[in-house]
This record gives sequence, structure tokens and C-alpha cells, in this order.
Amino acid sequence: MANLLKETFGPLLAHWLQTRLDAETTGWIEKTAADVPLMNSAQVERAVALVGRKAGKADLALTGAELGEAQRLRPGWVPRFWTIADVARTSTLLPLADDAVSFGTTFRRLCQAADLATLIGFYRALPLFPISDDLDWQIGEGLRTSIREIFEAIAHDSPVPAETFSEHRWNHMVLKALFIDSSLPPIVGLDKRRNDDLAATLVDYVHERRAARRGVDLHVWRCIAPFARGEVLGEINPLLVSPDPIERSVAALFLAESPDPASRSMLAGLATEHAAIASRALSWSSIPA
Amino acid sequence: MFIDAHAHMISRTTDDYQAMAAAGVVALIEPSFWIGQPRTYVGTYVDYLSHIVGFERFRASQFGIRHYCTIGLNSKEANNEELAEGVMEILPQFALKEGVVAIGEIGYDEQTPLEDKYFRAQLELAKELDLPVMIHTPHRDKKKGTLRSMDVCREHGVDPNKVVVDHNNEETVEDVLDRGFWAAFSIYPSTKMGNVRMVELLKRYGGDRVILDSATDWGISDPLAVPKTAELARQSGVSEEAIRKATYANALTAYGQSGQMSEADWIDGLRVDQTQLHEGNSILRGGRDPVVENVKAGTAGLIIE
Repeated sequence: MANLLKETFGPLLAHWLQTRLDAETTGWIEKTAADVPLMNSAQVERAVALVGRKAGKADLALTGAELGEAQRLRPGWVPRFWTIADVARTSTLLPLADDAVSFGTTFRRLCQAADLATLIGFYRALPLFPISDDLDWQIGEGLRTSIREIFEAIAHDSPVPAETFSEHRWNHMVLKALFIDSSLPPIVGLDKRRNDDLAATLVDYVHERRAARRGVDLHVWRCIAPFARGEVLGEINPLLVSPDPIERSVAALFLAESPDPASRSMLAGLATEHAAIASRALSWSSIPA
Repeated sequence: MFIDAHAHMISRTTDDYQAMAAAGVVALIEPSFWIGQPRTYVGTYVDYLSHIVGFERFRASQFGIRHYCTIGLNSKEANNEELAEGVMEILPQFALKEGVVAIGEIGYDEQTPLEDKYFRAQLELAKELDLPVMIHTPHRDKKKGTLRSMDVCREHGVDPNKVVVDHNNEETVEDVLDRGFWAAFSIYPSTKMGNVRMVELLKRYGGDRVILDSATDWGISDPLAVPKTAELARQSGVSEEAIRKATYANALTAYGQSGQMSEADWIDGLRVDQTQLHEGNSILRGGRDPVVENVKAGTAGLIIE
């Protein structure tokens, strides 16, 4: 598994570095990464810090083709916000990934004292690392943060949550995204992992927000839709008659996914939107984040 | 006179203390909480608790404000089992220190099994030490989390009259009051309760068993939330009696059950003497002249900006 991770992702990361840094710097980073399996924990921490400094903080700024390559290697992985330092640090950790358990211990220790930028990079790299109890615990710790960048490094552009989270952790991640004003669409598997329990909690959330006269993120309706029956259908009424075309589109998408037959008559007033859904011109991905 | 029943002063500045004192805050309660960065050693927890029962209590006194605190393992850090076990061992020694008015803030964050385990263990500790409890209701899945918190209190035989359920909103207040618990509200911008909404709730439910606080902390929050809300309520025609209960008397009644807090602590004025030292450390920096005066409770003008 582990060498497999290094073999799978190592060349891609190395290529990204080679095309963005001079040969000397790239060579130094590669040599450091090769020595890492022989280092003690203090030396590993130091190596990770040094390669980050050598690489520099510039945005990686992957091209569309490069992002496509990342997707092919690891579906769901979208490293669009990575920095060059993130790549350097990740390639320095990959040689340690041959043993998931010891890697998890190392990862947890590194996160404990990491500075903000480094920590964000560590979490962004989760799709490339082997899962273990310690790694899983550290993910939970990251999700408890109130720092949005850390939360999004875990929750967004990554297949890991949908692959590994229990329903409870998944639901709390979605709620937390709303709580810290993050966005739902970049959560990979958002539609696939919708569930009844989350929908019920989000209906409570809608009541709470409306009581406080605060807005509701439009993608909340997306998570409720497949479970919208009976009274819950009525919650969409304000959007149904909204002057805002985007809100009316959300209402139509919501009703189209509802399992309750009563949703059909409610859709009648949204003929244009309904037709757009039928022709696939309108979907949840048309709704801005 | 106001009591801010929930204020994390460790994260605030001396300017905040001065403004609170000027606005009529005579006492405040500082709950143990999560400081933003997760603690990873029980030792840092020990130092934090020492800080709020020690230096922070001293610092508040330098501005004419009586400082009380609550001791507990917060729900977020309950998820670190090794840390949580260590904290549970040291909690009893801190819970009996001077000025500790409750076990808190405890409850749920993500409602995990570990959070549940340590919430229950701390309810048992509160019973054992005969201390009130301050409950932090979760920001997410609040309604279910609030009901669950109260159910667990009942299950452990904790008297609702000794439990303050904090961070309520329109969706939870009725259940809390109906079950005989104290209902606290944190007037905190954008995530918790706004004060225009709070005034509406005071009009609807009156001041009985309602407690207002600022929950001011490391986030964008307002240490003057309690006096400002009192003023807004006054302007909106809420009765003086209801305002006094919600911004002063109820917190004193609820937390006074600890035997650690009474009106006598501040009613005759709190002598401010900035020449005092806490373990040799003064809050005076850069050669400022110390202020020595007698601050009379309630004489400060109410500043609402």
C-alpha cells in the first residue's frame, strides 16, 4: 500500500516541482525526501520545515490539464489551492507512508506543533496518505477547528470524507461548514452521502435561522430534498414565490427530488424551471456556492 | 449594576475591563473553555485553570470587577481521551477553589460518545461537590443537543434549579423554561443571539429564569453586550424588574447556590488598588501611575456605543 502511494503520487509531485523550481532546489528537496526514512522524529520535523522554506509559498496554480491528471490518479482530489510548499512537504512525507500505523503516529505528532500554513498543507494532502486510527483521530481534531482554512483543507476538494467518515462525522462536517460560513458544493460526495438524519437536522437549522431572521444557504435544500415529505415540503414555500430566479430554481430542484407525490402539484407553478431540470439545463451544480 | 454571566476574559484586553466597569458591570463569570488552539497536555490545562482562578481574578479586580469562574472539561477537548482522563483527575482540586461558582461549561459539541461520557462524569462531580452546572449547548444541531443535555441532567438526578442552560435561542427557550432550568442567552454577533431578538424574547417570556451574558471571547464579540441589551430593552418598554432579573439578579441566584458568590462581594464598592501585586506581577506596564480609588457600584455611566 505505502510504497504504492509513493509510487503513485511521487512522480506527479516531483514533476510539479520540477516545472516550477530550479534544478538545484528540486534536487535538494528530492534528496531530503529520500533521506527521511532514516531520520528520527525531530529530524523529520526539521526536514519538512526546510523543504517548505526552500520551495517557497507561491501558489502552485495548476493548469486544467494538471488538475485533470490529479483527478485521474485520485478521483475527487482537486488540489486547486495548493502552494508549492505544500507539494514539497507532501513529497517529503510520502516516503514514510509505507506503514500506515507509524505514518499516522508521525502525522499526529507533526500536526500537534505545526504552524498554520503547514497544518493546512498536511490536511490538504490527506487524499495521498494511508488511513489509520491516529490519522482518523487527527482528522476529527482538524474538523473541530474554528479556522475556516483548516476545515476546508479537510472538507473540500477531497475524496477522504466521503470515503472514510461515519454518517455522524459526515453530518457534523456539513453542519460545521454552514456554521463557519464555508460552502457546501466543494464537498466531494455531497449528494451521494445525503441521509435522512442530516435532512432532519437541517430542517431544525432552517427553523433556527428563520427565527433569527438570518438567511439559509441554498445548498441546504439540496441536502433535504430527497427526504422532503409532508410538512417539510411547505418549508420551501418562501423560495417558491421568490422574486429571485435562483431561489425559484432551488425550489424546483428541491421539489423535483422530493419523494412526496404532493411535490408534483407544487412544481406546476414552476413550469420553466421544471422543463430546464428535465432537459438537464438546470441542476444543483447550476446554483452558485 | 450588571453581572455578565459568561465572559472569557482571558482572551480580552484591559480596555474591555475598563469599558465593562464604566458600563456598570460589577461581576462576571468566566467559564473554562476551549481557547481556540487545542490543548494537547494535561499540564497546559492545569496552567489554564490556575490562570483563571488566579491571575485573571486579580486582573479583573484591578478594574473594580469581581471575577468568578466555572471549572470543567469542555466538549471539544473531551474528544481527546488521553487529555480528558488527565483533566478529570485534576478537576476536583480546582472545582473547590475560591470563586468557582459552577462546573462548566460542559455539554456537547459534535455529540460524540466521548463527549457524552465526560459530560455525565462531570454532572456526577457537580452533584458530589454540590455545585451548580453551566451547560454549553451545541452550536450545531442545537435543538436536539439542548434537549439531550437536559435529559441527561434528569437521568443523573441533577436538580434543574442548579443548572444554567446557556446559548439558547428562539427554538430552544420554551423547552428549557418549561423543564425548570435556567435559560441563559449569549448576546454574540452573527452566530448566537442578537439583542433586538433578545428584547423580543424578554417581552414574550419575561425575565423569570432568564440570564443574559456576552460569551465574549477570542472571536468578534462585545464585552458590553449585557449593558447594551439592558438599555435596548429599557428603550423598548421592557419592565425594570424583568431587566434587573435577566441582567443581574438571576445570575446571582443561580450561581450563588455555590456559596461562592454574594452581593456583599461588591455592593459596598470594590476597592481598586492597582498597586497590588499578584505573585509579584503588576498589571501596570511602562511606568503608568497606579489608580487607587473606590468604585461605587452603579455610579458609572452606561456607555452604549
